Amino acid sequence: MEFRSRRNAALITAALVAAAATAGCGGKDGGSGDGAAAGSPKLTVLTPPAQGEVDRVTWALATGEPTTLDPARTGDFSSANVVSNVCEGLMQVQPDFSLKPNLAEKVDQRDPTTLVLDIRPGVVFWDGAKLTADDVVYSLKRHTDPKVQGIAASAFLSVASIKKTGPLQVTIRFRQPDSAFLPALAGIAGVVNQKAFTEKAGKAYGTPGGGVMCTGPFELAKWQPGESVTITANERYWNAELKPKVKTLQFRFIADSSTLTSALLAGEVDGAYNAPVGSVSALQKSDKGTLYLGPSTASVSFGPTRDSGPAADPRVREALDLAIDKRAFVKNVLRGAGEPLKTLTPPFVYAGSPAKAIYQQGYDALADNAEPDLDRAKQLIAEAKPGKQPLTIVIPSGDQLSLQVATILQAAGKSLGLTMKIKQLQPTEFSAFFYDPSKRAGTDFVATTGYIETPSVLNYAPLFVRPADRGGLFNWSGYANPVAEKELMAAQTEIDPAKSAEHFVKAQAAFAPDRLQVSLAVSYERLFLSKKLTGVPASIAYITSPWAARLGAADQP
Amino acid sequence: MVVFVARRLVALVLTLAVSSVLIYGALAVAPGDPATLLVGGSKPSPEVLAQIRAQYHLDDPFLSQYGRWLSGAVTGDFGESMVFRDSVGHLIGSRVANTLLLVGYAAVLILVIGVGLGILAALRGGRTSTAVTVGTSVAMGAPAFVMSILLIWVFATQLSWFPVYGSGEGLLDKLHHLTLPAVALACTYVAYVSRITRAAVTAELRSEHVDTARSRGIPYWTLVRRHVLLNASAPILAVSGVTVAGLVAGTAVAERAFGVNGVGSLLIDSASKQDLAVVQAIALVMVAAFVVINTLVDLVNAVLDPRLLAEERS
Repeated sequence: MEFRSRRNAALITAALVAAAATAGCGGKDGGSGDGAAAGSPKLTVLTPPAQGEVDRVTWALATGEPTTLDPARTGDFSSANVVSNVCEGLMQVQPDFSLKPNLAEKVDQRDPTTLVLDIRPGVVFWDGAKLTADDVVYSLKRHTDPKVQGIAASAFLSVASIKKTGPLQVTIRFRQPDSAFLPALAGIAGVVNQKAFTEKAGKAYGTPGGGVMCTGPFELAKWQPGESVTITANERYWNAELKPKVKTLQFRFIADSSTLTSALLAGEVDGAYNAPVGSVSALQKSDKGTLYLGPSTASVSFGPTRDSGPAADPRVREALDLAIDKRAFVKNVLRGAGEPLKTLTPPFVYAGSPAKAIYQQGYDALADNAEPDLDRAKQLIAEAKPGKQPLTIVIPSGDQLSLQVATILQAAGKSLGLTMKIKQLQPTEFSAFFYDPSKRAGTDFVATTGYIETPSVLNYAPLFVRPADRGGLFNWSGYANPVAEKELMAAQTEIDPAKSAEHFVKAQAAFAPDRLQVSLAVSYERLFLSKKLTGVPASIAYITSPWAARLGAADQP
Repeated sequence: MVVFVARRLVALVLTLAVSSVLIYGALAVAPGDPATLLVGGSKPSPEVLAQIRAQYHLDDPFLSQYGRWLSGAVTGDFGESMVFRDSVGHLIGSRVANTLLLVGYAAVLILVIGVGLGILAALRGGRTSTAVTVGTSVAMGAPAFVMSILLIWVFATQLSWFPVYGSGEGLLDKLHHLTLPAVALACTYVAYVSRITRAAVTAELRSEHVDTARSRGIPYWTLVRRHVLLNASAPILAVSGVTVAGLVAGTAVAERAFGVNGVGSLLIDSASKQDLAVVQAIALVMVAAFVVINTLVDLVNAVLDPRLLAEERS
């Protein structure tokens, strides 16, 4: 999961523990009714539009209390769930994962290395102060300030300067063109905080005592530590389309998956994203609400951790891939709430891109690995001659989903004559594992889960393909593929979406067969929503967009 | 008596000192680098790591880190949480009332029901005794987290008598919210205390001095009150004291299962997020609570039964 986006491993690990802890009860695969064919549940991008206003809604954060509400450090499900409704970005991810200008009214790519943002006039912070270019420049620069420890700092790697060029205009210059920058502005990298407030709050910004000051559709009303976070409708919100219909929304922290399921089934909580995967069938049967499955960029995979030995050999990885039945994985582990995945980048990442057709064609052209092919796998192993030494799979301790992946990998290895053992690491050890090579010594594979938060194909794949000293942070297998590397670089420096997509697709065709990660499945978003409510997106887009602004009563008043 | 109290106080301080070293040392040698947790970025820059290490004194030698921590802890300053970026004292302080209420509630249930059932079983014997034994065996075998799931399903989901989760606002609402967690927490201990009570009361009923008293024609209830219960109270009190002290640590499971905003759930949360400062502080506070409650029970016992003081002297 670390892999995916700039996120705090331990927190998301905790998220997964919460999500997977009840795996083991329930049963049945998750084909939701509604005439969906068995094995392919109906996916919802946006729930039906809200009809009326609601006074009060109680919402559960399935991964517990947010650690911070400082947008620059919003790295886990819980924080993102809240922050996306109170603070907003220059760009915005739409429910279908397309990109729309938001606080930047107009985005002008003057030339490949100059981006001019015209800030929307008339936008005010909750305290009534007007949004200015100063706030924008301050917020963007804040990410790379070491004192802030911002987790989106890497989005600014190719930025040369950020300058105010008018009362409502900001100009960003780049050392080299960067097609990944604009999508990044829809994530936490583009969120605008009020300069005066943020500077004054200092270290306390985003804490229960310090609060935040933004322009979003909801105001942060109260954060009672350990108990709840309450947000209230911002009466002066600029965007009429997203004017809140809910007056008060209270977030409760329910990290225990069986308690969360009970609270949802009893109707004590009106809804939750990331509902426990083990409770899919129980929630589907509920008469209190509906379990929506939505398209997502979240995926489950495993990959090599060293540049020698069997794991570093693409043939061994391909053999393991071919020995695993992806449909059985989806059915048994994800309870039907997912689908097999061929490569690093899940298709929903580009579902809203103007170059979607090119990306999709590229994905469709990749070899289908959903069905196991044991004969071919054995043939590959015979060629690779990996030897008999036992291999080690690393997982974060306590994470049920990773444990299941590791167990499946172990079984796949066994069917090919490979011995594998599972090593569980404590959360801090597991996060150090990603940054400290010495921690990876003596290991072969790591099981990972995570999601891509913004519509950019360049968020993730390059980290595996590029050489370690040139941005290939997760290229631990010593992978070198000049064609893939060249095409990825071209995709990044090409500003035209279609041309950039063509380069990416070429790169993907070159690196995908080498299984830098063996991708098992996309895990659908699981949204549970009370029968009385509707309107919110069911796709993963909720993680970066003001989903609660769409929430309202299902019936007309 | 003064010597007795002084000895207990010295033991209390020693226990706390030793446990503070153990708690701090065990967590300090735990594997993993807390600094990497805090960055979480895909490209943690060395400056950021250095900044965090300096801020949290992660590179200082063990003794100096321990010294800084202990001198802070003595004055109630446990440092700052790495995850919540808030003072540990504040994090614990805002949750301690819920935990104390839960412990108090469960303690009352344990004492009233546990001691009551034990006395009932011992005095009535026969079927009542068997019924209590069977009932308490079942309760003893059911761990708190299993009881929690069962209680939530029956009383919250099905009957809707109690809320599924949360800690409530205002005393009455809080008690309403804390009833199921307190029952889940108390169950095992009720069984334990009732067993001990039954055994102690039964032993006293069979003892010579009770036989003698009975032969002197003392009325039954006076006999029970003065000769049986008073003498049986020492072991019951001792066990109850340990049990209630143990509750302080035991709340974690019940708080977690019922979403109660207490110190126990904070402990679980912090442990899973490797928030060292918080875990250390809560561990120390829990040990302190355990030791203090036990010392108090010892003192009460000594007052009730002066023989203990005599033993101590010899």
